[in-house]
Amino acid sequence: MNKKEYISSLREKLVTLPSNDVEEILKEFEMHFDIGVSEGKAENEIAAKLGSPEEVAQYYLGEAVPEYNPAGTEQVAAGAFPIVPIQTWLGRPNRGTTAQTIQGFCHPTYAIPPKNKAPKPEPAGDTAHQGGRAPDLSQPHPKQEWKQVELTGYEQYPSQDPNYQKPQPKTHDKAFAILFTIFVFVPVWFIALALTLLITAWPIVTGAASVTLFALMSSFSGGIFLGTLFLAIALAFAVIAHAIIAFFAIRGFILGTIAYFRWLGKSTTSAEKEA
Amino acid sequence: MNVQFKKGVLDLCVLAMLKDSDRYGYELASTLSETIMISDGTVYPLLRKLASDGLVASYLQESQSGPPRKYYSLTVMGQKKLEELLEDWNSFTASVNKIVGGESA
Repeated sequence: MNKKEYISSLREKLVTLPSNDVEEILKEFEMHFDIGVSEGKAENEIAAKLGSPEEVAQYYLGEAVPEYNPAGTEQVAAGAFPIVPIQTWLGRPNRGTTAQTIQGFCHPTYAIPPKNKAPKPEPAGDTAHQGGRAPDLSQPHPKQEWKQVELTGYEQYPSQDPNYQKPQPKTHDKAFAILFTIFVFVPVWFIALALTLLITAWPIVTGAASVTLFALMSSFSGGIFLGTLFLAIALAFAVIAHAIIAFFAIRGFILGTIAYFRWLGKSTTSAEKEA
Repeated sequence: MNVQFKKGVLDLCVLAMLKDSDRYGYELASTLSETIMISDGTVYPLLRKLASDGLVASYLQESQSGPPRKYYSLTVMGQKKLEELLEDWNSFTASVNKIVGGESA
């Protein structure tokens, strides 16, 4: 591991510390490398003597045992830092990483990095406890006694649940279908039919009136002739407008009727299947 | 050497080394790693802790030949602490020696 690799690796490990502190710490390690190199040592040799970046980071992040580990191969205590939950605008951790995050934090080798960087001064008179605590690695660290959590958090995203069952379309039995058709659908349908016919008849009536006026026009004379002409033209335009309305009314009526029978057929069939 | 011993005396060693003259991190690290078998990288966190406790102060000095060095010096608090630690250390080793020597004799 050369200087650059060592520094960047250490930077990664110290990510939880304030950036000012990290820069200060890294500056010191850079100087260490520079001095070593100026004394004719190889960068990887210096890095090996420093101990692994993981180990060094442990001293900065919390307490760890100063241990001679020149090869820099063995890691001290904690494993990889677990994935940090990303806060979404809902104020909940990002669902995609929640499971991994909780697993990470529950992992027995994970210790919370201390929030304040400066260790509290020891109480006066207690001098038997200096130079960083030495956790007994055979014992579980008190901070690491995590409860195993059963993951149930699919309320927000039920379709992601492995046991998720797609909601079945609502079904009803045949009796309901018949009664509903007779007492609701048929009356509504007849009213709709009457309205549709009325709307359709309208352009026919106005059209007929317009045509009649045009036909009678030769028998009129003077003022009446022009008045009749304009009325006939107005009625002709009304016919066009009404025809458009009538077209959509008929279309709606037909489509509505078809949709009703489709829905009725679908939902009653599945009800029969279930039964 | 036993880990528990080492961590107990590291502070004492660093403070003692700074008693007579200011020293830079590299110097402290290489001396300590040779004598009590710790990795060089552990000295810097320790120095940082001592600095935050107000026991040592640091300053940057350009070197005539080579890269700049960060020197550490003992503060007044550090001197007091060193005296305390030395006293403890001496009385502790004396009593341990008494027991150990007494048993072997």
